[in-house]
Amino acid sequence: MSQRLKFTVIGLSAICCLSLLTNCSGAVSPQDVKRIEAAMPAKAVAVPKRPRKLLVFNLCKGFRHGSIPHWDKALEIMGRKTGAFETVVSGDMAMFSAENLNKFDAVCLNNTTRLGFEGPALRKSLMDFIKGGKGIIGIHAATDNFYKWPEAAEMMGGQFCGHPWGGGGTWAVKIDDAGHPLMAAYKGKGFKVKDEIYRTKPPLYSRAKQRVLMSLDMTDEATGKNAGPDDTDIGLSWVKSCGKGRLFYCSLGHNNHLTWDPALLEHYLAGIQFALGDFPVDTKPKPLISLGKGSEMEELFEKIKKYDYGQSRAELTEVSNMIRDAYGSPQKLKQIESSLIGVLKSADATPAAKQFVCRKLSIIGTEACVPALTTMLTKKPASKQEPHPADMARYALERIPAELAGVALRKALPNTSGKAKVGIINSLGQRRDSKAVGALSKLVYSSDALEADAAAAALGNIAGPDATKALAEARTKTKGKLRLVVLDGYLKCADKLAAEGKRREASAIYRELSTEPAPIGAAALRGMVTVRGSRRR
Amino acid sequence: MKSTVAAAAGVAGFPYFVCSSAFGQAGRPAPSNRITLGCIGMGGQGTGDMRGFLGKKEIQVVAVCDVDKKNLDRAKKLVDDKYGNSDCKMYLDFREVIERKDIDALLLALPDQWHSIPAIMGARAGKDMYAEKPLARTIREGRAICDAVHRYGRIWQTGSWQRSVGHFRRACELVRNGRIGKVNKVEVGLPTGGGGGNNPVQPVPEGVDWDFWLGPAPWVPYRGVMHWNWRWIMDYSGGQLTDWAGHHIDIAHWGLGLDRTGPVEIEGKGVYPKDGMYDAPTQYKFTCKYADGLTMIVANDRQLPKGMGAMWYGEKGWIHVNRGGLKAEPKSILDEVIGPDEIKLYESRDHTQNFLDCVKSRKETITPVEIAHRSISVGLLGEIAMLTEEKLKWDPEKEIFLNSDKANRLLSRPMRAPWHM
Repeated sequence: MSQRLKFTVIGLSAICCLSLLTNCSGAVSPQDVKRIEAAMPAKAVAVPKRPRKLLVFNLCKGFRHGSIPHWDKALEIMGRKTGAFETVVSGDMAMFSAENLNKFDAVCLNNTTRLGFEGPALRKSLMDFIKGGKGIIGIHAATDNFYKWPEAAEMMGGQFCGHPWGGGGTWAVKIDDAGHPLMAAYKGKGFKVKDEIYRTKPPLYSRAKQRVLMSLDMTDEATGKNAGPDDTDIGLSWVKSCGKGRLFYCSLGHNNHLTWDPALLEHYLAGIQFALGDFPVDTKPKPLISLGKGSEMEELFEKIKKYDYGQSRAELTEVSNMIRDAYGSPQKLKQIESSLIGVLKSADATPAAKQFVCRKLSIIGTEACVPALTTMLTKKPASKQEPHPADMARYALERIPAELAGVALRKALPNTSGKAKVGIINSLGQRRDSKAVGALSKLVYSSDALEADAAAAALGNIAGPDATKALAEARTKTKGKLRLVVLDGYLKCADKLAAEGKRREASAIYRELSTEPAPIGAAALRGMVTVRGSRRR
Repeated sequence: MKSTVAAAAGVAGFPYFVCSSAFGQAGRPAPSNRITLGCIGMGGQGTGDMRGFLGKKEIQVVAVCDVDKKNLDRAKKLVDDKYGNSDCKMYLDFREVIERKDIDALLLALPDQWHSIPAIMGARAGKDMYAEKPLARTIREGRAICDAVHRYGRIWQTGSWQRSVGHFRRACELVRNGRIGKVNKVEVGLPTGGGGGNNPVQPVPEGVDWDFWLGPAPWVPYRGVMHWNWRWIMDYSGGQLTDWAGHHIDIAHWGLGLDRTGPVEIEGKGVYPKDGMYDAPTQYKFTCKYADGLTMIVANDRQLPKGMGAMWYGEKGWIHVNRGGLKAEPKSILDEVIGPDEIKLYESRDHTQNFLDCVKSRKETITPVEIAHRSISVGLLGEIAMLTEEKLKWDPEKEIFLNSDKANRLLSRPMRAPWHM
């Protein structure tokens, strides 16, 4: 080997080492080119309507990704091998002049960063180009642009704000739109990928504005762990219509090896052909779970049925958010309520799932859910290691204003015993259910101390003429701790009368109670003074 | 000290807690003249509060109570070491403490789902109470505590101890006396929430009555959430927001003289963990409008320019107060003297002592129950507004929402049987 040749070899290997270290090579190694060639789909997804020209643009005013030459190369190979398009690679802003741009069918921003498009001429030509019916494609860092050009940032469907999922980690991806033609390569199956994930946040990123095709799967432990509290939905790939034109963006492609990932290349090919105008697909925005689609709701509620303590709450959160978003739409709420009732009625739903459902029904439940809840009032728990069905049912029934909920609670009184019955008494008291006074008046004399205590307290909470009468009578017929609760309830009745301005009736009770020992007697004296004071005013 | 009825009508507050002349003497009062205290809830905060009481000569701690045997043993040892005897009794069931006729006062320091029941029972049994903030987990429970305390004429102190710290009172006095002019906006910064992870279901630690710990809250299996970290779960707490409402919202209200009323409109947004065992908001920001047009913004510190504390913006400047100190613009405000004819706020230099003084004098404490209720109400109203994401209209007199059925349902919580208020 001659001295000169030796020197060249050393020099080359030094460059190679450097490129490995910095992940920033000027050229793609022959080995990588071979890998890309081999992984590239052989055929176009759609036959081009006419010869297509793609501008691959790679200028960076901010961070320059090492994978740029790989993507330049991959797209060149993609176009050539499949015959879908011809590429021109450039980093010259002059390419965006109207005259130059019009030679192309689409622009691909290959990891460009911090492009500003200062000056109105270039901004206008790019916008006219896209909105007039052409396409734009973004690879990975393509959302790291247009910080001072809101219209373009909006068009991209998101803007970079950090990457909590670094390029050295492996992250889980879920397919949100398995039936979408651009997702054919993944066959509906989520996957794991070693790449850096760009985070884009609402309001620029929004499923109300773009069709999101895949996103991070936060139920994966490592992926979920790196998520901030509001990183609930990190989209990875999406399409949207911009005027007459089309946008396709995919966040994957920070690491070089993705340029020889067959599925991702097929995804990119389909997306690029869509943007070029040869592969029309549905770009209609779609929420994560669309209420209109029965199957998706069913799928979600099937998962809810299996929820147990200690598991991921992701699906529960999804339902909670769905409910919150449906506020103001009685029709949507009705639909959700019926799905929730479905879980309650299901034989294979876990107690934890039913408890969750009851919590939700306590806020949005109507008469419709009362029958399903009523059944639970008389059920016994299968073990001590689960919530009592009656407690769960009451959690909803107590809060549902509908009279039917009161009817259900009152009717269940004679058919229950023990803590279930005590709970029902308490709920009737909390609901200030005056129709329950008859039954409660008898329960004050129950041989079960808890029932009697609950009934006396409930009568005090209900107050009103009948409850007052019942407590006056119980005052003479009870003793000990129970009597203290009765007297407390009786005082509450007097307080209520006083608040309603019925001073004479209130005073009569206070006077009656003023001879009782300390706490009750003193409270009655206070009441008398208060009533007298209010009369003076 | 024995509780007796003083039937002398006309004496404000109907004292049936008669103070002995023994209090005038130097040194410790005779045992029969000491205020007997039962301490319920012997976790970190309760134990800290109890240490404060143990340092008071006129107090005799006679009972400690907790559902965790470990806490209980530690608390009893503290008391016994202090008194040099083993007279202090231990209880698992707080009802037995409240039933003791020889106990004058209670220290209540329990998780929030347990705030209303013992307080109401305590009032009914004629006990005076020093209770930890927030007053209650729900607005209805808070109102019920207020009613019971008033009904039975009890002395109530809330653990909003910042009121007994000089620079907080000074800040409030400056605002109240117009040193920054008419106040049109207040910002209240509270800590940003924490917590993470997803513990599996696990055996209940030995010596813990888990069912009792849960009490009125919905049954769930034990997952290592109990002492202290209960505050990240909405069944037991509203997170940092409700944990700290009794501090800086309380101070903001005090400075404005709005501490016995509430806002008329509330709107805001919170960030909730979408997964894991904790569900309280980590970030939160909501705006309250008061009847006179004033706006109060409550948020976690990272979302406010001044971070933690209360910040009043007036026509002539601003005042900011937090635990680190007092700041104002213009700075000259800080040199202002409050004149003899100006508003002087309630002065207390020792929060525990203020309670004991009031137990003796039967006067209102520096943080009575109604004020505590109004402080936490702001936090709870914000919580409801963030959960419903609705712009809520609130009637601070009737304490109901005027425009939302869902929000009204959230004013109370169904309790697990057999518990009730």
